[in-house]
Amino acid sequence: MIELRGLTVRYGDTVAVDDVSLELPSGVVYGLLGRNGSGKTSLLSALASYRKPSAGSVRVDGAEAFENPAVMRATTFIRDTVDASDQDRIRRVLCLAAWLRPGWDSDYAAKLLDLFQLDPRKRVSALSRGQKSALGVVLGLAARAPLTILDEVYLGMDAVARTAFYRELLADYLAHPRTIVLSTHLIEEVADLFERVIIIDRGRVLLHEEADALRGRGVTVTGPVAAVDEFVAGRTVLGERSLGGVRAATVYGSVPPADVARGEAAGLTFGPVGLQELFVHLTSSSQHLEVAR
Amino acid sequence: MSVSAALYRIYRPVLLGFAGVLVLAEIVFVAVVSAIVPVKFSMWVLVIGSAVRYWLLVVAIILVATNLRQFVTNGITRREFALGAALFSAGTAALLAALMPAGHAVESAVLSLTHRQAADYPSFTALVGLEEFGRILPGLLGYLVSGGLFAAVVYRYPPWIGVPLLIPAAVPLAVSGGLLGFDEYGIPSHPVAYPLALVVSVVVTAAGVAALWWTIRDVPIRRLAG
Amino acid sequence: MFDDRGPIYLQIADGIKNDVLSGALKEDEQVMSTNQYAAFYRINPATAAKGFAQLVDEGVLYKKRGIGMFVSPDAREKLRAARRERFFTEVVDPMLAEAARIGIGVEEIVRHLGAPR
Repeated sequence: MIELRGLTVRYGDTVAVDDVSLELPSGVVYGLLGRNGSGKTSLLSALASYRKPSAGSVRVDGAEAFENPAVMRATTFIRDTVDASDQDRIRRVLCLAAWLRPGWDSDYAAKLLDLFQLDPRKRVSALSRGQKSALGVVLGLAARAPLTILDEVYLGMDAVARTAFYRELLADYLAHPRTIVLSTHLIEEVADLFERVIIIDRGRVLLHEEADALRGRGVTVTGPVAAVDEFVAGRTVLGERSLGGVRAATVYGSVPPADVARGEAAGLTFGPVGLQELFVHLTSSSQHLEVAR
Repeated sequence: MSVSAALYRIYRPVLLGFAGVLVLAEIVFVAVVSAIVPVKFSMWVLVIGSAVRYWLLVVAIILVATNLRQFVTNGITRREFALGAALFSAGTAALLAALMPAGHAVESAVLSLTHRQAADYPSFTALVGLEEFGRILPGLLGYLVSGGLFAAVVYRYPPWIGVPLLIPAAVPLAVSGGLLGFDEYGIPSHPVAYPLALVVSVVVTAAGVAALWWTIRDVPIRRLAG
Repeated sequence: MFDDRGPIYLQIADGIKNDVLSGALKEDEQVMSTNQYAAFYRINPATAAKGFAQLVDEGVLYKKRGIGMFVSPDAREKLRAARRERFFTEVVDPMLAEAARIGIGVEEIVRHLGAPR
């Protein structure tokens, strides 16, 4: 169990993470979603003990995380810019991981290098953007750390490489269950892998729910302006668009089948709202929906 | 694997290569100079001694600027790294400090056997060797600490704070080098008596270690530039 | 495979129910484990497990400890009966509503139903 209590991360006057409290049971795949500048990476940095919290605490299985050898050994944090020295050859980077990481699987690492077509003799500086990201993935997966944090590791990877990554991630998670926190902007690509979703916006947690609960949490209502307005009255509206006499509104919350039937009779059409669309609506609206958990 | 063991494995080829170059340089220089004139000063103590100091300075910079993040991103705490790095660098310094009188002894013997020792040459005796070790080691530790501090203040603070801090960061290096140095012949210089010099040097170096620890104990590990 | 129309675990449950109805999955046959299902459809195993749990609740599947999940012996009949109940409200009535919307009379529909296929 990971507990964030009142976690705050400040850079000078800027508050990147604002009094965040979360309880994250282990062994779950979490999707951490947030816009650029939402405080996502700062939160993950604090979670991984890469940065000391300005206030509040991070506890893993009851123990304070920062500078705690047991916790840090069990945590791996892979960022979009891979933490490896430019001069080193890939072989050397993996060597160091093998020496220091208790759960490191060298055979698996070699298999992954092969999968992503990385030459161990190549220097990190000679790798393309996508290859560096692939190296990050190798480091993240082969460490088999009980807490594996992957922050936008797909940067620069082409669609084929990304597909391979998601497949490998799921396969290894099935074989070696652990806590995985995936931060991504390509929501629709990975959404099916999430068990839980955390949305962070402007330094605060907007929601923390089961992924499946969020699917079907939104409905789009399209039709004549007057009919749409009547239907959405009293409901939470995330956004709306109008063209001439037609309006499309996105409603947050479930709509009972009886209401749907009535709406259809009135000439409205209803559509689903996927996770990515829901995320966009929730984080771009000017009014704040603070659905705290 | 422990931090210091890992560091030894990383630096072993560098250390061996460096030692090899030093020995080679010494052989070449002594051979060349002694062929022309009798040798007046200990090439080994003076020149090689300086090379060793600056080499350790650079090692300390790299330890903090590069190795710290390498180890922390592989699950080692800053504290564990600091202890391991201190063990590794102090051990390496002791090794190199012991190498100085050893090399001096060889140089002295070779020059004496080939009658190329000038009158002013600092001949080697056990006492001379002991004094050399006792002077060089604190000096090397001072250089190590200053190197670490240089890297630490520049990494942790923005330039307008970090750059001015480089000056106090140089104090261990300056004090140890100044109070426990050698003159142009390779004979120890004595601006102050050895015991006092040693105490001052140790105190300043210890203060430097404390400052270094204070700077890195909770330093954030930032992303590398894309 | 799965789309935005609602929780994935329900889509999983529906998929398996369809397989049972069509005969693709026979009674007392073992279904894929949640891990196999997750890997095959590229979804989180907890989601697959939830879908399976739903089916166990509804009596469509049963669990044999240490072995796996199996289709219940009377699953097909149960599903058929449930679908029969809902056929008129969920399939026929909407069809009639659509017909009314576009001006097709019941007689036209009856004619179409009677015509040879």
